[in-house]
Amino acid sequence: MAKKELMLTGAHFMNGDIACAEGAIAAGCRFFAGYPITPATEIAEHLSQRMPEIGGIYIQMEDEIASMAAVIGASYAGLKAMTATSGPGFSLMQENIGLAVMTEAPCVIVDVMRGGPSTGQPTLPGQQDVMQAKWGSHGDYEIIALSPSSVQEMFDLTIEAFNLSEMYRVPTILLADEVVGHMWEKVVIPSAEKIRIVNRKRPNVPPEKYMPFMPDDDLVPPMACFGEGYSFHATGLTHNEHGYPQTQSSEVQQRLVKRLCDKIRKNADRIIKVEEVLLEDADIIVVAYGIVARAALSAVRKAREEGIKAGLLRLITLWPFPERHITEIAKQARTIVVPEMNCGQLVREVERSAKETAVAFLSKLGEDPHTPAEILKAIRGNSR
Amino acid sequence: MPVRLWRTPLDTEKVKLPQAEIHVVKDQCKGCGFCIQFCPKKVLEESEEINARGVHPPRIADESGCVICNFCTAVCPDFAIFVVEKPCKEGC
Amino acid sequence: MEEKEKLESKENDGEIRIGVYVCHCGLNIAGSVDCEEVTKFATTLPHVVLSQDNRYTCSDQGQELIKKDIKEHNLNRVVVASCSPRLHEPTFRKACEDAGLNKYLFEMANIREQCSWVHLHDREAATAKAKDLVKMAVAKAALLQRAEEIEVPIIRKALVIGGGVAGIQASLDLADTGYKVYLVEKQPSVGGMMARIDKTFPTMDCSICILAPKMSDVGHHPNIELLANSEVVDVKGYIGNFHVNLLKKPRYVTKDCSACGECAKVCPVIAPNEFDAGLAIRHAIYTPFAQAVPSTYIIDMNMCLNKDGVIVCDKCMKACDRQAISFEMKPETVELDVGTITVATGADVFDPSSLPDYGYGRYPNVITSLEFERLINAGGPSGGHLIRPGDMQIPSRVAFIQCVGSRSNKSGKLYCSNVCCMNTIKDSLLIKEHWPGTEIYVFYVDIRAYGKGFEDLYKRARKEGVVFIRGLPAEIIEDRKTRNVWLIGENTLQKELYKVNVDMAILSVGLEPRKDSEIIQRLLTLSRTQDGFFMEAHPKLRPVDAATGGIFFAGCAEAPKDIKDSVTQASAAAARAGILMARGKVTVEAITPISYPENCKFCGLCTKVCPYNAITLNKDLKRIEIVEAACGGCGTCAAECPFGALTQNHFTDEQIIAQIDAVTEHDADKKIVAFCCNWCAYAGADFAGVSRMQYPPNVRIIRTMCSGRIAPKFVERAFARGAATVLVAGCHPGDCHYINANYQTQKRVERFWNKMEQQGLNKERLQLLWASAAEGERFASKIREMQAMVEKVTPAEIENAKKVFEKALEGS
Repeated sequence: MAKKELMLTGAHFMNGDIACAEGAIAAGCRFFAGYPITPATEIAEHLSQRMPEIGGIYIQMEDEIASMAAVIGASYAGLKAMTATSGPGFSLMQENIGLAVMTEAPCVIVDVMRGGPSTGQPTLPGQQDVMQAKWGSHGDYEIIALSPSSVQEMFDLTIEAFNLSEMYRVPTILLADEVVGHMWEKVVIPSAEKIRIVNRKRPNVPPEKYMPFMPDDDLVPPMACFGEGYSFHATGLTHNEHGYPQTQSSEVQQRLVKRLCDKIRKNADRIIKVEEVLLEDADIIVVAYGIVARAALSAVRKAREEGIKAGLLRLITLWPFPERHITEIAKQARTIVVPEMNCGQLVREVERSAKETAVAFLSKLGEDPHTPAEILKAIRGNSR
Repeated sequence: MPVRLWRTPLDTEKVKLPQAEIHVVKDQCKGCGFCIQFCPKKVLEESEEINARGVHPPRIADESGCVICNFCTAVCPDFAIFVVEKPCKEGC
Repeated sequence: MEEKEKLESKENDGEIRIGVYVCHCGLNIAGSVDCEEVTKFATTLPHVVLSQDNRYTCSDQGQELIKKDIKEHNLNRVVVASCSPRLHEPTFRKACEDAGLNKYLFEMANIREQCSWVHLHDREAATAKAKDLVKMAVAKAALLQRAEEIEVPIIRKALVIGGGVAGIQASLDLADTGYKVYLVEKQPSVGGMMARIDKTFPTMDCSICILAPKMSDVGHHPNIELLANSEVVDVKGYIGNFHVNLLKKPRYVTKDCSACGECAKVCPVIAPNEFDAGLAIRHAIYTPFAQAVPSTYIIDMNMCLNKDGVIVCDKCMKACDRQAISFEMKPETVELDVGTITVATGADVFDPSSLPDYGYGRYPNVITSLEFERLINAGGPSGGHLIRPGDMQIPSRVAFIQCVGSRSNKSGKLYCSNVCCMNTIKDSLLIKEHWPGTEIYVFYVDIRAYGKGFEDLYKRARKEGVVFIRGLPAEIIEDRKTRNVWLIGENTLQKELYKVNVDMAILSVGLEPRKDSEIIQRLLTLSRTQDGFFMEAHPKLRPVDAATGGIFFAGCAEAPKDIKDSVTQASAAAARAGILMARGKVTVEAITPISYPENCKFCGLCTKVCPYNAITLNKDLKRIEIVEAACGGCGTCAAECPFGALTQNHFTDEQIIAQIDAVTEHDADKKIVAFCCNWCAYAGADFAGVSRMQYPPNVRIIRTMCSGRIAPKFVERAFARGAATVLVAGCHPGDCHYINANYQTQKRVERFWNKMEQQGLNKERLQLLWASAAEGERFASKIREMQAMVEKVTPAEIENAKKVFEKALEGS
């Protein structure tokens, strides 16, 4: 493929990481700062070639802490910025993710999850960073996390991630896994005009009237960028709407932290996306995400062939957690089966939202994702 | 039946093994070496050249030994090698 | 009943009344031994109340005489001096039982195989020896006690090892009789050699056509469990109660296989096919031949591209629409309990590559008779066209060369392979049938056309114009251009040299014992003859029994033979096995240990030497426990006990000592006291007798069941009584009939030698010999060797030894 073009419109056979990189380009990302780490290295490698071709910037930073810092800087300089990493790097980025949250810097962090903890299993999948995506940094905050299940979704959801981060001035995490990252599938890249791009709200007042952290009705402040003539202060310390630190005021803290959380919580319904398959009359419902959802889909279909009323709720948005969806399905399901490649992370949220309804957890660690047979066995086991 | 089998069988001509054509997508190769390591007929070896990714893609050492088991195709993580059967010329 | 009670009390009542019968055995004994003199001599022996000689004691008449005498003369012990107990002990024991005398009160003196036949030319010495032997027997008989045999149940299931025509026939006969049969075959299919032959002699039947229905029967018979692709790895137990461990090797193809063959079509690996003697190819996944039973495929993992558990090539798996291929299959162990075992492991074919003069392996147009069978077989690699491998042309002149690998020193095989002459005659007729113009020469030494219809076939061949030349070629030389071969040799009938040019030479290869027959031999404690084939219990009277109880032979495992004889022998073996299983029980010889607990010091030495773990030490109850049914009857435990707490029934210390004393009463300084084990050394001495090998008459043989029975104190006693030399003889190590009891013998003799050296005695006076039942000559030459020693021993040495070992005379 001739790569000098900006948009590689057409059908391609590519792997998940490359699709994510192309999705970023399609979304308008023009800055990447990162550090190679299996299984996300291909994103960096691909963008190292593409960014110069399309007039973007690629910097290989000395580590992930610096990478995240660079991304915040680039975002504030007006560019759509992204970094890509895996578990160990994600841990390093946490402090600066907190900074991005506090300074409401739109950015996308791709975490291609691998086996953990620590350096774990670099070449094998895991879904062990799910809780960390929400709670990894200190302090109270909300972020958005999306979970792709296919290479096409690696492309599409990267664009979605940028859109959401711009819309809500919040770091958005693309929680992929090693399998989706490394597998090769067909990807259809539409032409540029067919892609919906959202850009950050710009201030509609002159610089002297501008209050950098005064929200609109949607709880999101319009964002001016450095170098545009707007002079303001952005800090990680608790600050007022002018952006200046107000560390002694409990009232300011309350207002700020609440707004940072509410801007996601109150807009949850607009943010959350799920996929419902065969749910209408299902009484055994599988809740899954990422690569595991592919196996779950196959299992649910096979279960239907056997006469079991099984259904699948595939979570595309992991954070904010789709509580309402879970509560709804909990009303009709006898059991909710949650297969995850970890020791029990998102299932806790499901249990919390499902309340009285039985939740069966199917854990799998290391090696391969759940096979359809394994999920089918759990469906059968819980259908009696 | 311990008599050692030293003769060339009379019907070796009758068996037509498929002729293989091995294709290496050099720049897609990331040099993992699995195709070379697992080929049961040792048809591939590491080449001297360096591709766009900075690694040595495989080189065909002996195409006639290939039995089109397709394991190289299956094991390559980056779809950088595949084998097709050469079409039969005459009298197959 | 009353009579029996009377006799019982008489047996143990103090007065011992021995009847001695000296047999002439026609002239077999009388020819070299003065039987009347021996008979008269017997009357002088203690406890002998009656001494009689007759012509044929084993005849009905002779037996009746014994029975009459037992009743009339109140005999309570009987001694028969005649042939080997290995032959007629059961006969006379039965006669005694019929007359109401317990069979363990009977003893034999071997004055034929071990006396008259081996000392044909020294009547005086032979007679003196016979007298001694009778004296020994009488001395032992006086100490014999009655014993009851225990009964052991026989499992009514049979194991047949080997699925050739013999194994198939034996299995079918046993299964039809109603017994459950396990047929174990090493190869993936049954059929053996017969499946590879084209036609059979003398009827020219198609071999596989007559075999295939039997193969199919074996595969479907409700009483036969066919375990193909399996090997026997361990056998424990004894007659009627064998515990067998089999290894079922994985086929990597499951039972779902329908033998459609689609897998083989796509398998990319090719290699020469063993069934077609390497003349055709097969794939890594293959079926041995079209009519294979079980009819299924198998993957040869040595050839398959999938090694070490990595499946790189899955072409066969994809081609199989029944998903019958599984690379995960593992070898299985199968454990069986059977009552009888029939060994039908067959024979291998001689590989003439070791004869460089014939050029096999170098010249393409020198083939073996087996390759010929495959070439002329319509289902074979050339579709039945007899083409020569060099250029695939049909030859117009061929030569058959007989006795390749048989009857020859050069090949190391001295025996006749039985089938090759007829096979060649049959082959020559096949050629004439299809290509009548072919010139055929047969180079032979003798034409053996001994069987039914064989002579007719031979005549037919000669009528068809097959030329028979007496004189094997010395050399075969290839003509480089035409690739014809020149045969150069001497026509011995016409006393002139020949140089014959033929298009193709066929080497009529002989049969040889299977290379792995050693494994079966070890597992089942069988003996092999010098040729390497398994040895039957008796060549004339027990041709299908092994010396080990419960094991039978069928087919070429025992000796090369044709299909008719294999089938005959198989049915015979099935009948013999059937006898045991029909009875349902077998009696165990009462030669088990007798314990004297008052002497036992619980040292446990006896438990360590028992090959059958039949004797254990119960530390808590402080006593020895003996499992009679498991006891093999070797007596090693008795020899091992240093405290006199164990002896062996029917071979007690006193009985053996009585025999030693009898031997050494007169002229001990001229005698060789020989202790021989029943199964090998004693049998070897018998064999020397049967073969009329002559050796010096100074040897006196004392029989024990096993050389392990021979305690050091017996040797001491012999020397203390002034014996010139002592021989301890047993089975070759590893071949011991009681598994490994003879290792104890070795240890004891070595310790004794050390002791002799320490005491300044010439240790050459004690000899140790390992000789098998087939090694008559080995036994004879040992006696000759020892005779030289006897002549060299000085009176001083005799006295010295007497002094050193005088303690052994205590308690005499």
